[in-house]
Amino acid sequence: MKNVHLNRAFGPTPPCIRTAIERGFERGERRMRTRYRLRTARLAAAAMLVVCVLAFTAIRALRPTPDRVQYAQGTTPQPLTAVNFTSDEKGIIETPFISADDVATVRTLPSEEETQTIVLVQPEVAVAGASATGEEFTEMPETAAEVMPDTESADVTYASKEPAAGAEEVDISDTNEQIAEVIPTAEPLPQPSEPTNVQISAALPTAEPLSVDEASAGTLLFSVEEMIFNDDYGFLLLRCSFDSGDWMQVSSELPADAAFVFSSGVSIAEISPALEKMLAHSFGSNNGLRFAQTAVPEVLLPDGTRPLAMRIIEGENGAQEMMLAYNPDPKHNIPEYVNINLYLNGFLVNDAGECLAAYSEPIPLEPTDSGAFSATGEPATDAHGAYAQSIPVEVPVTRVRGGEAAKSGISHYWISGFGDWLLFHMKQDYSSSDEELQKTLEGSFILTLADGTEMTLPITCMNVAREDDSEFWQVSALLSADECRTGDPAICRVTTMDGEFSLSEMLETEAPLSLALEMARLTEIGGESIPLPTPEPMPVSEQTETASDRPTAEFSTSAEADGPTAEFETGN
Amino acid sequence: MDDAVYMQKVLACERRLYRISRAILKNDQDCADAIQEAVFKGWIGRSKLREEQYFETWLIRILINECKNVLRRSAKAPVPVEDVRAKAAPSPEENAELRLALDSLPEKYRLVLVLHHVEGYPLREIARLLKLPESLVKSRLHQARSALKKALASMEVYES
Repeated sequence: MKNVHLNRAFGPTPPCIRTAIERGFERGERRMRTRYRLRTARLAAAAMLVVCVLAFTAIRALRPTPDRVQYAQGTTPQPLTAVNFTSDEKGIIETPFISADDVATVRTLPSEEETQTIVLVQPEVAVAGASATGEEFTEMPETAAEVMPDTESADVTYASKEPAAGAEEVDISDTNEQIAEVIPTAEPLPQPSEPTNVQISAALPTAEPLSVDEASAGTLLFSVEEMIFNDDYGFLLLRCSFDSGDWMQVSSELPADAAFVFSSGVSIAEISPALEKMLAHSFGSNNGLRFAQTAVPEVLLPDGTRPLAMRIIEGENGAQEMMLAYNPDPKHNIPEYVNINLYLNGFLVNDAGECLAAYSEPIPLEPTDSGAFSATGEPATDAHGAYAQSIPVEVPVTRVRGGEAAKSGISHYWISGFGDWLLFHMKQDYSSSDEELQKTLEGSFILTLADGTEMTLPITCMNVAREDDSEFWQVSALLSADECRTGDPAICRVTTMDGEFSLSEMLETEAPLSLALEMARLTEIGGESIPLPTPEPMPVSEQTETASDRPTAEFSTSAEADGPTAEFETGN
Repeated sequence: MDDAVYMQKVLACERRLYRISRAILKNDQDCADAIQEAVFKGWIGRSKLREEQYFETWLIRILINECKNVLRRSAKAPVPVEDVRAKAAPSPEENAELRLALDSLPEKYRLVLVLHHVEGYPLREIARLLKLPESLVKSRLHQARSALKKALASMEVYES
């Protein structure tokens, strides 16, 4: 073997070996770069996860504990007639919102597990105490936060106070059963089916089923299951058994003999003594409420949403009030309520003249068999005949002298009376913008009365309405008959084809009216008239037709176009 | 070890890598594949090399493993006739008879012969490379010499 040179067996290194070395090196480099990128991405993801966990933990730490939140929104507290705190007793005010001065919820200590819920309903029971931090207070705090500004479970020691007259003393360390024995009449309010509005304190006694007026037609027995008084807004919310989950709202501004009109069934009933007593406590003297029925129209709020609930309240003088419940916070399903004080044909207008809602069709208000909307079943005896006049009276107008309004494409005028109000409607194609239409129509509603007095009716409402797949501006101006009553009766009279009528007379008339109105502003401007179909007389019984069925008027150029006034005549 | 140093060290032992791989494999293309894979794995796993002085031994160990992988793969795959002819025909620069005699030996004999008589590795180092007892390497080397002697004798090219 010595003489054998094995390295002769191998020739020179072929070039493919060098290439293989280079390729192997390149592959290694690529793999390392990929690994580096993956590692960097994993590190970034891990860092982000850590940040998220920390943020979540911080948020949870800042939020109230679930027990507190659940309690604040959920459990219905036990109502008590009186509670007297003895010295050295400790409790935690749990109620986050105390709208009434006499309502609070206290959780007793020292046992953290045994929580005690007590509601104070007697305003005579004052509470004084001091928080664990030494902060003293002599009145029931409005919110727990005032007592425990930065703590979650600060102890509150209540000083002893003299009990209210006739109030029984309750040891807040007692159990719920003991409390129930102390106040046998107090029954737990039922848990509402819908989430409770946490801003409203529920501390009113449960009402007995409302009594029934046997003599009244269509009497419906129902009971008030829950009452909630919102002191901040002056609302009384009643949840009635006849319509589960349905709430009836009572305004504290109602007159004493206000009638309630709501949607479910023919319901004529008197308020129960308990409710009456409560109302008397809340609103002063209030001798009975009357309930009547009406159909609920299709109502859209200005933002296009539908209200959750709607209540029409018929006031003493026949004025209509409608209350809409809408839900500004769908996530928590907490309704809020809007007072609408005027209900007129197609519009809902509040006291300030702001249009709150509009609907394209008149709301059919039909009298009951008893002849009126009166809850007692008696014919309407309102001084102004308000109940009997609750049917919209629609007055077709035959002629109008066009002006700027005509040029802007107004196609319809009609006038309707409702209650003590006279409503002037205009419709225009939706092509015009809000500002343009407002500018065009400003001052157009001028009513020239028989004695020559001109009454400029401010535009109170402008809304887009749908009708027959078309969109229109609905513009209205309101004239209150009350204004006329306070002044010279002569100015309240308007000329019609049938003579002169006062507004009240006009509104009481059951036949279609023919009004001769003078729209001075339009006449001064002049312009072309707009021909419209000849209107048909509209009987009262047909006045609940849809807006599309409404008789229309024909505009024709008057021979007296240069005159200061123009007459509107019915097709009759 | 950065990329430049690694590449430099690999190129320094390029010839050796070729010869060792050629001692196991019977054509240059397989040698190139094995070397490429060995260089790639060496670069990826260079952090596992604790002492750089053993880089060459460490890389040859990787190469031997890759060569055996190539052998296993080629044993499963059918070998084209052209490859057999190419393997049977050494390049002009090679000592054809010696090459044929060497190729006729089993792979385990070829490897110890090349490592010891061509690359000059001592028996202990070879034993470490092949993870075999030194005595076995010594015995295998003796048997390899005898086998090569017989092969060359049969070709009548043996020079005493």
